Amino acid sequence: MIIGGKTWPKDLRWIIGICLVAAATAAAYVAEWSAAGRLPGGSSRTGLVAGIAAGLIIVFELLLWPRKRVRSWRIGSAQSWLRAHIWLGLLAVPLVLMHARLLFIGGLLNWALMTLFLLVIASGVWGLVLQQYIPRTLLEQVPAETIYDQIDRVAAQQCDELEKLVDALCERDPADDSADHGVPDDVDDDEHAVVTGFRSMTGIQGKVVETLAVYAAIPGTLPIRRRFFAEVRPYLREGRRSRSPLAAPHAAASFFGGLRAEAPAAAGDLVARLEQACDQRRQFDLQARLHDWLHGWLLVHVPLSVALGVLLAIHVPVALWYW
Amino acid sequence: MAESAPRPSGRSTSREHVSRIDRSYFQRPSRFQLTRRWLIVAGLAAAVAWCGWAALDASLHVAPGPVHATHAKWEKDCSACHVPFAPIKDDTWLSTAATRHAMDAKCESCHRGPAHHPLQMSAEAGSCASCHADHRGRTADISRVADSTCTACHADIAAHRLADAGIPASAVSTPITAFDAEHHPQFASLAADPGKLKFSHGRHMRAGLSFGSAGAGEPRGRAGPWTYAMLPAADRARYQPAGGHEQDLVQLECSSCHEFAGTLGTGDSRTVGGRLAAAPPGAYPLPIHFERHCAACHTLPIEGVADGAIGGGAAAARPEAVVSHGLAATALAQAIESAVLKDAVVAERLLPDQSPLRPLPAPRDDAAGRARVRSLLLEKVDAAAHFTRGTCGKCHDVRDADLTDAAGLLTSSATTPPRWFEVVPTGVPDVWLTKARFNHRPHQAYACRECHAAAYPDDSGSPPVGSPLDNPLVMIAGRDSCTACHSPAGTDPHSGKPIGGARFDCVECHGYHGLGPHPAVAGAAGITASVGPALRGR
Repeated sequence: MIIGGKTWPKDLRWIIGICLVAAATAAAYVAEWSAAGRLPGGSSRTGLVAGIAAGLIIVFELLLWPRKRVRSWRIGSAQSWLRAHIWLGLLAVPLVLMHARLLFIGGLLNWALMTLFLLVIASGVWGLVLQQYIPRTLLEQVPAETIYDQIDRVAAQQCDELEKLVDALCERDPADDSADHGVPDDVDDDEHAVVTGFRSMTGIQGKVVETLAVYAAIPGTLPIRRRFFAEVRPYLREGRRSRSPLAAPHAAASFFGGLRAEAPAAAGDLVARLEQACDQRRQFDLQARLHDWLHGWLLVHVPLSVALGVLLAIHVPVALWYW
Repeated sequence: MAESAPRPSGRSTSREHVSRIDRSYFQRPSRFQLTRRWLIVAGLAAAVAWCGWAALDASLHVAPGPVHATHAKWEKDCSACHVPFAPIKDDTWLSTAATRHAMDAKCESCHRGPAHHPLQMSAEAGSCASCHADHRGRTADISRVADSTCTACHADIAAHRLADAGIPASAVSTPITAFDAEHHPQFASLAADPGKLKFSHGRHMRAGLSFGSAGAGEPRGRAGPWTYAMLPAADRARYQPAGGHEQDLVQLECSSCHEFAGTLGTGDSRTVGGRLAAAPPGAYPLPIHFERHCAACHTLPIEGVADGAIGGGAAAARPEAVVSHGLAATALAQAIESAVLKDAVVAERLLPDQSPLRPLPAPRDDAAGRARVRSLLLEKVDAAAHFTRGTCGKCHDVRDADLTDAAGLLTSSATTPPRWFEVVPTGVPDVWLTKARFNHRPHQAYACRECHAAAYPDDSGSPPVGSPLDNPLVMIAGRDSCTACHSPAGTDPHSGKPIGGARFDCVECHGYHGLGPHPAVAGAAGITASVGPALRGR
């Protein structure tokens, strides 16, 4: 969720609301502090109210998970839940601090609970910050974005198609005994090949399926074949995991510039397609990296939230038992 | 993501070419989802395990900190002090009279915790733990409570106490919110000297205790300043400084008379108030003891018996010629009569060996003679009593008293009880600050003069003769001498030197439970205790 833009009025209302609640609670806390001459703890009047409020907020925050799992629940829109999740979570911070005597607390269970809470809040804030920037970065720098889970599959398909094209258009390597490099036999045996092309429109890059006429191998294209199988193909299949220099835009530009100078003019379109495929593979790599940043914080936030819920469930009865 | 693209064995159809993705991918959990799922399980397991660990050692996990050393025995026994579901403090909304009673009963099973004041509103008194919060470490001072626990009432004490016509409103109207000149009144117990002793610190602190020429009230037979040679040998060593000469003038120090606990000699026994007896060793000076601090110069001669007897040396040479200090009226009468009778018998040589233990000879049957002797003896007793009254009156207030009992050998047969006199109790407080505690020991680095300047003779060089008795003057500096140090740390704007910095919270001087009955409502009756070996042993 991005804070600001069209939803800013709603966010502003939340911000004003939590600031008022936090200020009122803090005023009551300071008043009780000055009256008692010592920091009110969790059992003090303000501390207890703050603790109960914070506990209820934490329970509400945890309910976001089942709300997402059970999409049939129609208790407010997902956006409203997420907005409440964010702002109430931030409101819980001052409430918990006042409940916890501004961190002047003792007991390992209390400290574990407090540490988990702060980690959950920190990871959530970190995720919120990432959500503000990464989607825009994805939109701007990864026009060929695809489904994250299908990146390897799409890249492999694209590689296979280019292999077929190279196999059809480039001269056979006499030094290579193998008839081919495992190229699937779906190249039209006479004069056509089906490959994926790309078209860009208004910043979005889309895929199109093209049928190319293939008449015969182009003389002088043996270097292209050799360098494709040696360098381009591993990168297209493995991406940055291949540690190929083609993962760097400047190195790729240099590579294909040399290849273009070495290849005959008739193979210019083939070289351009290879370069375009490498560029798209780099976008896939960037997309994967951004995806990891965009969602990786959840690997911290969600498990710690669950642990926080468990410890909170223990904290409440224990605190009431001996308080 | 790891799956590779299918490789059709034959020609692919255009539909297969268009289908770039696996349309059922969302039905299988991704690697990210699997990782998150396992991490959730791990977090859940860790939290449950932690809770199990906490159940095994509640004091480590649940208690906010170690309890005080004196409570360490019950470190792992929470129920020794806590009652389930009863707030141990009473500043919560869930606190009730029942919960407070239950919690306080736990504390009071070991601690007496008397009420602060009879006029205190019990509903406003906090529970034990409200002020004395534990779990702050083994060495935390849980008796050092915040000022606000005091000022909550004392900022407007009139509104926080029960009405009592016996206490004037002015005594309770002063708001106290902090220890400084603006928010704390002067020490009430230093307003006036309740003592009845006539004494001049100014005279006694002068070199030679010089009174000038012999005059009224001066010991007979001596004049001029005192030298150490004039003192009895037993006292000389105590007063004469090391390296001093016997002909030097006597110069008393504060410690010459004001001794602190721990400096008592063997066999020294004196009566002190309960507060002094309960104070830490060295906190206050012990009461002045006549035999120890006065008798070296001041004897109590019996007129007509101790002719010319002065000084402690004479008293030691003729103990029957002096009267003991501190006798009640009857005992004093008996002592004087006894001394006069013995002196008369010795003077008439009726007892050649002058032994008072030998029986008198059988009385002669001479009524006229007996009456005459009795009359003469009574005259001598009256003269001695008159002189002794004057001697006592030099330092004490003296008042008439009737001898209700048989006073002695001569007066017991009188038809009407004779008039006699008695000494009014001096009433000099053992402890002057009745509403606060003070300890001289931490202040011993300071010169006595810094807080008791009035006890020193002025330096104007005026003749000491006729120096006024200064006993009505309270010679203890008040609040302002304390706030010079017991105030927030700062810098003197004039000298630039650091000032303040010593603690100045309420409990630094005041106690809530432990200062005994409040004098305003409990009277001045003190608990007396004999201080001797027991006190010395502390």
